[in-house]
Amino acid sequence: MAKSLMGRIPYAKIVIVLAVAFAIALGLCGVTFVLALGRGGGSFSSSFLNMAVPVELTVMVLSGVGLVVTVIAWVVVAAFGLGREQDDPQRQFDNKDDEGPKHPG
Amino acid sequence: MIPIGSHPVWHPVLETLAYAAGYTVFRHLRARQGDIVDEPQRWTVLAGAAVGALVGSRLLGIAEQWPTVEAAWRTGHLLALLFSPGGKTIVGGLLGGWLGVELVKRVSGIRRRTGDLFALPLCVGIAVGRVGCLIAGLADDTYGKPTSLPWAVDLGDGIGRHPVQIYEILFLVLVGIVVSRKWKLPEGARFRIFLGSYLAWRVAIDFLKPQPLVGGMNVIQWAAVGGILLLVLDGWVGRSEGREALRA
Repeated sequence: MAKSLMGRIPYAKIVIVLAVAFAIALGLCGVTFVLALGRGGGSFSSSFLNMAVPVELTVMVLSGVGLVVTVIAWVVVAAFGLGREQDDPQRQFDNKDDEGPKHPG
Repeated sequence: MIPIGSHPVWHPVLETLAYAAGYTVFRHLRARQGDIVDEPQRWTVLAGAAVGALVGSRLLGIAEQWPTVEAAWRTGHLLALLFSPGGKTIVGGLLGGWLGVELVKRVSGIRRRTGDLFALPLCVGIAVGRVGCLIAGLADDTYGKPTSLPWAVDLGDGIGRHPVQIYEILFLVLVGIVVSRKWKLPEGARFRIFLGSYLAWRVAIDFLKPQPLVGGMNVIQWAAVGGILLLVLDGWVGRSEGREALRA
């Protein structure tokens, strides 16, 4: 049977993309801050900074909020089994390697 | 003295390249060597690593700038910290990523050691990122202490400094060679070799950085020492559980 819509969403991939986007936007924000303070050694016009800051902030806010929402949705789907196929009582986080060593790492 | 100057604009470019280079090496290794877990589980592990690394690097980055945080708290400008430069650290990213992976593995029941495929990509990614740190110069807060050695770099203030980023890149090349050799090692050993040696390296190399000290070391060095202790503890627990499993 097909999984439900919630179960078909690739949460892990979305989380990775959003985390990387947030990290890069955070780095860009740091650079913009340095440039705004005039520590960067370059001459950047205020119009460049006026354009960069809203873009960086928007990416940060969207990726940050998206990250939190996606992680919560993923946990809910996993906890309540919303992603299960009806004829397959497997967990969302299925475990196919129980034969391996018991220790984590 | 080698003139380099400070060019912070290149830092995010090199940071993005670092992520891309690390992921490319990871994909190449995975295609060549295969994987001990299936694809959905690998993505789950990667997601745990990404979120853990993001949180860990930011938390330690903020802890590193504790006086700034305290001042921001007092003045009610905590949100302004989002703009603060140098607010991410590799050690925090590695420790947070490691803990994130362990957490998602525990939740999802993955019992294999999944870190070996990350060892070489992390060496490559950090080395590429360090080029960005070097070029960013004084704006990045990762520069070295003044020195009169012939290979000292001038980051724009006319002072010769230890090129600590280049030292680190050379160190990562060595670690990369070690972890990519085809030695028969226990599962997870390559990642532990990488993580343990990198944390030990940071404890040592950070004495060449002019960072504020707390009890003789900077915040990152203390975190690295904590990480080494965790690594030893985890290895000891893993061996004990392995022995018990053999007996049973």
